Amino acid sequence: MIWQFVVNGLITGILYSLLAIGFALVYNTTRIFHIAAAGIYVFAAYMFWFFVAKAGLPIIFASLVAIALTMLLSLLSETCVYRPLKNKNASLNVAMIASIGAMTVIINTIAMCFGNETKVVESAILQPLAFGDIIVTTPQKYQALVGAAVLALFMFTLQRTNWGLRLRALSADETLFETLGYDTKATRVLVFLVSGAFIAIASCLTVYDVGLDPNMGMSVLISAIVAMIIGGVGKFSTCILGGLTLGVLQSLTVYHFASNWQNAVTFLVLLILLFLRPQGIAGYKQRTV
Amino acid sequence: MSFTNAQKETFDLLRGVNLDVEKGKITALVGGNGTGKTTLFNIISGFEKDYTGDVVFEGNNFNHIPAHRISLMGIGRLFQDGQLLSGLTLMENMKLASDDKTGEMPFSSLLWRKRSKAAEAVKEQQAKDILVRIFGEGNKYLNMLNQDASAFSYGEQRILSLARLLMGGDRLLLLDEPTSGVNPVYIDTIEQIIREMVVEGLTVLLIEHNMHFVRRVADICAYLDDGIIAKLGPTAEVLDDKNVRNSYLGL
Amino acid sequence: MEYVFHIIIMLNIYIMLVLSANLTIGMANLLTMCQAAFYGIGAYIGTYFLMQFSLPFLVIAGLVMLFTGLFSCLVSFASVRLKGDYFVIATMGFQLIVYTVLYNWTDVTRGPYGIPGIPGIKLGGMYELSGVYEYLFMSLALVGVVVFLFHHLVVSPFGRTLNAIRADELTVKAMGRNTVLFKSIAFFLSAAVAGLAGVIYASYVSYIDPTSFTLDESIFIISALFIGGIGNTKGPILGALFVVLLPELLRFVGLPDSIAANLRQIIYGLALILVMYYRPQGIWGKAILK
Repeated sequence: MIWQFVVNGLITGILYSLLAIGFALVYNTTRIFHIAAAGIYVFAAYMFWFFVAKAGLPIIFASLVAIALTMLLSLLSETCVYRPLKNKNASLNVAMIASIGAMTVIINTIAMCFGNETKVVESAILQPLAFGDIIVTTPQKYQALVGAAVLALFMFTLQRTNWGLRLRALSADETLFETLGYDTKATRVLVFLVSGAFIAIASCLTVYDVGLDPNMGMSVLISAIVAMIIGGVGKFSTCILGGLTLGVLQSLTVYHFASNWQNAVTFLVLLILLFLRPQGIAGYKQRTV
Repeated sequence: MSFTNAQKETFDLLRGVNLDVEKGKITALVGGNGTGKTTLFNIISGFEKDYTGDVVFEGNNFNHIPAHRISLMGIGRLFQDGQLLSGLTLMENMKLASDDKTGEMPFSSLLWRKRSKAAEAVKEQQAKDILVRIFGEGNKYLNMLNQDASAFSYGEQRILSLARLLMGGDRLLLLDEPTSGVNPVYIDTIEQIIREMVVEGLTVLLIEHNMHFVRRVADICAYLDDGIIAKLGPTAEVLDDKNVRNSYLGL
Repeated sequence: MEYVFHIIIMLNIYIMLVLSANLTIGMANLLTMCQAAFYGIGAYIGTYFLMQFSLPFLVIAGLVMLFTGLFSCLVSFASVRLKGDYFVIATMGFQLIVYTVLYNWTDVTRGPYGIPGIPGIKLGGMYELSGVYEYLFMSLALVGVVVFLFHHLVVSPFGRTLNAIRADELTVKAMGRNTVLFKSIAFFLSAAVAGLAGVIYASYVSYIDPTSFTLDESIFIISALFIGGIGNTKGPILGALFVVLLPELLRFVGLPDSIAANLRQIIYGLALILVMYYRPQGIWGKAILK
């Protein structure tokens, strides 16, 4: 019985990892606490739902369209909100407050267009897979396969390609990056596009299983941020470690207590971890003073 | 007056620093980058807690006392590129540097109006006196007391934060590179302020990279190299020492 | 007319909340995202006292402020160890934990069913306040006191020290000020006043449930704060006015209710972005978030 929960947790963990990478792409390179990601996540979910349930596209096309549109919205948040603020030398906290504003605008625009009630993408119940005692539903199967594939591709790109190197360099030191003649502005555009894609993939995979409503963004995003922190801030691979850890942890909370205590346990763990090991499980210690 | 400190193990930065600072004198601490001069300051003023050894001030052991209490016990500090506190006026900066905290607890200035007003008035007078002593009667800063810190140039902020130290009623001042990044026109003023500090009976320990400045102001010079005080003595003697010139000044 | 008075009472509650947020965020640059948690703790503790004991209002207000203030120690403790974004996420965590406890600890809070029939506030002579008029005067008097005291804090030496901490905490420490103590006091007072707003709300509406004290509510409060302005007294008051009166204005224009709720949120969001770009100190504020 417990293994069922571990498997569920790992699959949820993959989804957290995807969203955590979407957030970390922006956070590590720009240091902006990108709360608008919650709005972008909801936007992706509604686009996916719209093209599946309203426009009747096949799921694979609908998700591709949703991902493309979400990438554009993510880029829009950079060009309309963050870049103007950066040009004015606004502090990162100011950018975060503006990001909260952007999140509010996106979520409420969606709620105004599509209503506040919960929606489902596809109601058909498909035959689940069974491995002994452990049951994996069809949406979970896709979540695990697609999610793992995307994560693997990302890690490969990050480690082996020029683009990945550039990304890691930008997150290490922006001033040096610029001094060495690289275009921060262009790299940031790319970062926001890729971040949008990750947020959209996480969103589509999640709502395919559990449905969607306009207010779901913030709590998922916070879990993803927690995943990023418990993995260790500053790198990307740690998001996966953190995401899987958090997913299993939450799932075991459901197993031992009840699902409604999930958030409280998540944060207790986070707070304990922050106090004992602020650099995360796998992060390196940074000098603060 | 003396303080000793040894075995900074975590970074192994300071290995057995034994430095006696003479009362009423200006002592300069020189040495290359990363030799632990600022770390030594952090230890003395209570910002660095992770060390072994003793800091002795006026015969009392100062080990592991929180920074704010050390300041109240008579040791003032100017940070490297320390400036005025932004968002506060010059007068507010001066007042805050005083050790007298009357009226700073919430509502206390409402409940004990008279006492708090009197304390504020004393601090105001003290601030004006200090500015007059340093910059002379009728200097421009007396008319700029209610201007925000941002109204002053970087150099001005540096000399004003030095002047601010005189508010604290301290007996030892730690100055971390008072001349760094400052326009040369202010360097004479800085020297004058440091001399004024000594006239008022203060002891000064300063970190400095500007060797001309060290020669001009410091009575005693300590050369910190490889975690120990490699040379200590009258300034001219230390700066003209062959080893010091070789290893630090590269001459 | 009663409706107008109702709006004014809600406005008074929000003035207290936004002013309380200003003390930590605006004065000391400590970005707390848990003001609604203290608001909720105050409301629930106040409800307990109101329902269990027949105490005069000043006693209840004092007790609520004390207990809510004690909860702020958790946040103060976090602020010592955690800086920047870590502190922000920790306060969000505190907010979510408080909400989860209020929602799930059904034996005490009745969880999502809420607590109905909360008795009104009793003034000194056991006279129970009821009706809009009496709450109007009570809340006006209370807001008067809170505004006076918080304005005093802003201009007093205490406010000066908090402002100095926002500029450069290390220098303030080197000047002999116990910055941790000052920040903790700021958290305590901020939480206490948010708790006071909570007990007023609970007794006025006579029904509370956890949905009034969510992270969204905290975000709403700081949106009001940043739109109005930080670092002084008039900025936060203007912010509260803006967020409370805008929905009424939209209603006046005659928008259908289904759109109005979302539309006003969109306006808040846009206002927040525009203010951060054109006037980061807020419409009428003094300080800029560092």
